[in-house]
Amino acid sequence: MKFIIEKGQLSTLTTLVHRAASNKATIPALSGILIEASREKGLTMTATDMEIGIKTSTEQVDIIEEGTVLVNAQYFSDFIKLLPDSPVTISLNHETSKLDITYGRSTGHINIYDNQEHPGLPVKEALEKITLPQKVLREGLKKTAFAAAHNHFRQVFTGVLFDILEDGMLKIVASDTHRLTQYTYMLEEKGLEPFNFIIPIRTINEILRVLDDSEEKISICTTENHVVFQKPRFLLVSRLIEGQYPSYDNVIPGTFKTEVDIDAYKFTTALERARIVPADERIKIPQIQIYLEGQEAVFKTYSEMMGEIIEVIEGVDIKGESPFKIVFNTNYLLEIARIYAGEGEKVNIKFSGSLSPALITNPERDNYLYVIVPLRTSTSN
Amino acid sequence: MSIRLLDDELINKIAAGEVVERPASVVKELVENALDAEARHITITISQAGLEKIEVEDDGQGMSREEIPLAFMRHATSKIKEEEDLYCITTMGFRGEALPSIAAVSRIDIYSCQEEGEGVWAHLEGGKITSIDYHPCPKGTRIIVRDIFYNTPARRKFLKSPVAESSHIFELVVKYALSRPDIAFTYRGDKKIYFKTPGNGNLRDAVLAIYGRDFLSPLIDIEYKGENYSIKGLISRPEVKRNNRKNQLFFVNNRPVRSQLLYKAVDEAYKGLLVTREYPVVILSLLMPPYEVDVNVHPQKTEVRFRDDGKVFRLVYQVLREHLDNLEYQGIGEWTKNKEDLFFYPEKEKEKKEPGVYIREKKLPWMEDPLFSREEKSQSVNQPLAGGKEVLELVFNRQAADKESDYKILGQVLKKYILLERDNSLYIIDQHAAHERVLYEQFKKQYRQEKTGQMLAFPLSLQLSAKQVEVIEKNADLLKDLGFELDIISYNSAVLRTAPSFIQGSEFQVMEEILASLEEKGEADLYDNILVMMACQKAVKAGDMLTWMEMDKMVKDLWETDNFRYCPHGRPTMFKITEEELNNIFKR
Ligand SMILES: Nc1ncnc2c1ncn2[C@@H]1O[C@H](COP(=O)(O)OP(=O)(O)OP(=O)(O)O)[C@@H](O)[C@H]1O
Ligand SMILES: [Mg+2]
Repeated sequence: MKFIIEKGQLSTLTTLVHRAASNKATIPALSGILIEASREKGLTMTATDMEIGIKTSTEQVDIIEEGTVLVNAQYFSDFIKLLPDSPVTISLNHETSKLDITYGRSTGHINIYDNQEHPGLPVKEALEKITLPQKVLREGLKKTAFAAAHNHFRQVFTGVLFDILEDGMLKIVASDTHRLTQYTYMLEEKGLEPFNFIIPIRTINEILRVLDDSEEKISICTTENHVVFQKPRFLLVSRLIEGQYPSYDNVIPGTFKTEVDIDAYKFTTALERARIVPADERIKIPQIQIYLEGQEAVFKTYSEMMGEIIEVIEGVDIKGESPFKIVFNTNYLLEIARIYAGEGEKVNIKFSGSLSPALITNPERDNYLYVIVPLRTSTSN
Repeated sequence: MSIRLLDDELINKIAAGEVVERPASVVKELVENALDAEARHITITISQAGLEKIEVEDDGQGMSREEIPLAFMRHATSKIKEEEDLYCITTMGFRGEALPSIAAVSRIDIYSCQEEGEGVWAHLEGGKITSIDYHPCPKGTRIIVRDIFYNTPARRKFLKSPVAESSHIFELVVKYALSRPDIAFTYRGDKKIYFKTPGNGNLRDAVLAIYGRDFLSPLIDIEYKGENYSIKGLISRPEVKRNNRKNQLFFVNNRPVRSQLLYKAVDEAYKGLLVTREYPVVILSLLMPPYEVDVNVHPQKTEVRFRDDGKVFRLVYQVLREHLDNLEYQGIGEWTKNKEDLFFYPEKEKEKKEPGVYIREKKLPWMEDPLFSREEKSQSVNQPLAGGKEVLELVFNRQAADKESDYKILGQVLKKYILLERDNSLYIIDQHAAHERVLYEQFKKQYRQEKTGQMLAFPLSLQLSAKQVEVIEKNADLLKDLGFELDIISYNSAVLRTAPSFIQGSEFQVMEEILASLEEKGEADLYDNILVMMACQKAVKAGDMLTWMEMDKMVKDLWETDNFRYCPHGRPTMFKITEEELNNIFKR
């Protein structure tokens, strides 16, 4: 095997795939990148730790001799990243059984694995398939995935739900049981059978790395227990999370007692200041009390160590019952405030009671919502 | 002093002491007899922790009118005849001691009927048959034991609280029900059914019936079939851990046993996955030729001796380890033909690839001899010392005035320990133990101050055992105090509506542990126990990479606690090597 490629091209490929390789040393083949050089197909790289698998290829390569090798993903990609910007010649030295990487007058020799051991990617016939613009998927994932749990005894909460409804509506949902996000998009495909699947957060993070803000399409197929993301010359396969996602519709409140429109920027900065109040994340949740009365929203944070912050936002538009008081986890509120601050003037919050979930939306857009459940404190009941 | 022969009644009472220690022992003997009688259904009913009544009903072979008096005679058994049989026992009983011993200390009614035979009823008081007669009843045997220890008040005094005694019985019945998933067990109390296993031969279904889905779901199936030995059962994924061995059950030839050897084999198999004092859930059934194992070691037959200890150890270790190692590759399932080319190179004609079928070999090469070839993953300090310099200096400057913190963090070792220089000594700090201590102190403070619960958007329905639901019922207020609000849905499920936020994701495990300690210890020290347990759940684990900031914070917090040398369980948090000791080592 021998080929010549620009360092930039090479580096793009390795950075894309190397993270799919296993970082455990138990099965060497799984910590490798499979490099295939073919005159017809160009240069292809594949890596998988059997949870997730990524394959990508380029034609911008000069293939001199066809062939396949398997190299350690970590060493190889670290090495490639640090090469100077110049053409790189990579060839398999049959005598030493090492991969020779030549740049300028220098050469590195990297050990290879037996490529027969690499499993390749487990792609089977797709069952269902949807297609959507990359920018939509990117927005949908960015706005939902953060709400999923990092670990949870109910596995489904560590993933993002893709729920395709009868009319072709795609709902992307994530929740850690303390809050819930939902993003909706009308798919172009018609006549889809309703189906749903849950993608692990790790996969979401990987796919987010390759999505850009373009209209270019990416397709998502599912097989029995995998999902495949695919665009030209790129493919990502991942295991799905097994299990039934609980019916999230019931979680989204429908009737409200109090409603408020707040300036998105003021809301965010007030929360950011409140967030400074120290709290040990692991045990003590930073909490903020919201008090609504007349035309004012008062945000109160208290800490034994630092003291108290009372923020008043004036000129808010309160409808329904007031005065009204509720306590939230500051972080949960801040995360959503930041999202809205980046896209519009106002944030709309609807409350259904001091001990019931609240609904937060951007009044100008209706494709996204955030449900947050209050904290029950010794003062709140 | 004159030496006399004891009369029969007294002999029986003394012997009863060995067999019948407490109500649970009665249940054990009666269930074993039902199993030996080849029952398909066994129903156990308990009232007042067994002190008032223990009833065991089976649909087994039954006894005739002639056999019943024999059954209650000492050393009368239908199960062995001669000495040879002792070395090849296939039944649960073989001594012919159980019924007379139980009868000696209680009042008994027995109903029994053989296939095509006539039903018989008999009543016994203190070991003597007071009446016996024909009495119509279904095929099988029903024994009702009342007023246990009524004639040996001293024994009765030694019993623990009714709660403790009924826990014993519960655990015992669970053990037998799990030892024989092919038999339908029903366990009932005065008013309710605790569980009912289907008896369909599937261990998973039996576990589901007893403990519920949440307990079952992280368990994986184990199976091994050799020429003479076979192993079957369920073990937990390494994420699951308990702080005792209660959920480690072993059955040897269907007999529930306790065995240090098997405990050790399990610990060894989980080595590196769990730390000391963390125990996996293990339900293992070993089958082997009867001559490979001696059950006649202990009066209660709960201990066994294997003819070849080493072999059993290696086998259990190896089978478990193999299954655990395989877990890593479970994610993606079975490999079939690579079809990705179908859509990967969209612009090109898809060429037909050879049917490259990759099937991962069942046995991995390094598993041949697990004891020796497992790679020791020794890693050196994880982060370059230079990288942490700035942080360290920052810490130093900020803390210069504070005498307590004149330390220097050197790094993390083996993802388990923090190395630290202080007072001309080298400290090795166990990151988990240290964090446990820190969290424990913080929880203690926090709980004294305020009570905050995070309400859940998705109320979590928890599948529990009937026992656990009972504990929830009794301790609702206390649980609320701790930030847990639960609604009981049925005898074996509850819905969690509010829980402390910081246990997010481990609500089920934390609940389980809280319920276990509530059940065991009652109120005393409970608060403290729960705090210790939550600290343990939330603390960083061995294997977690720590940043310099995290290490610094942990160390700083640790030194501020009162009892920084020990974690709340009493394990040391740190080990100190003085300059002098180091000098000695290097012979300076
Ligand atoms: N449920 C039952 N169904 C049919 N026969 C029974 C039942 N229970 C007891 N027997 C008969 O009574 C005999 C005596 O029972 P017992 O439990 O006292 O002794 P064992 O089971 O033979 O030995 P061990 O003392 O070790 O339990 C048994 O051997 C059996 O023949
Ligand atoms: Mg018996």
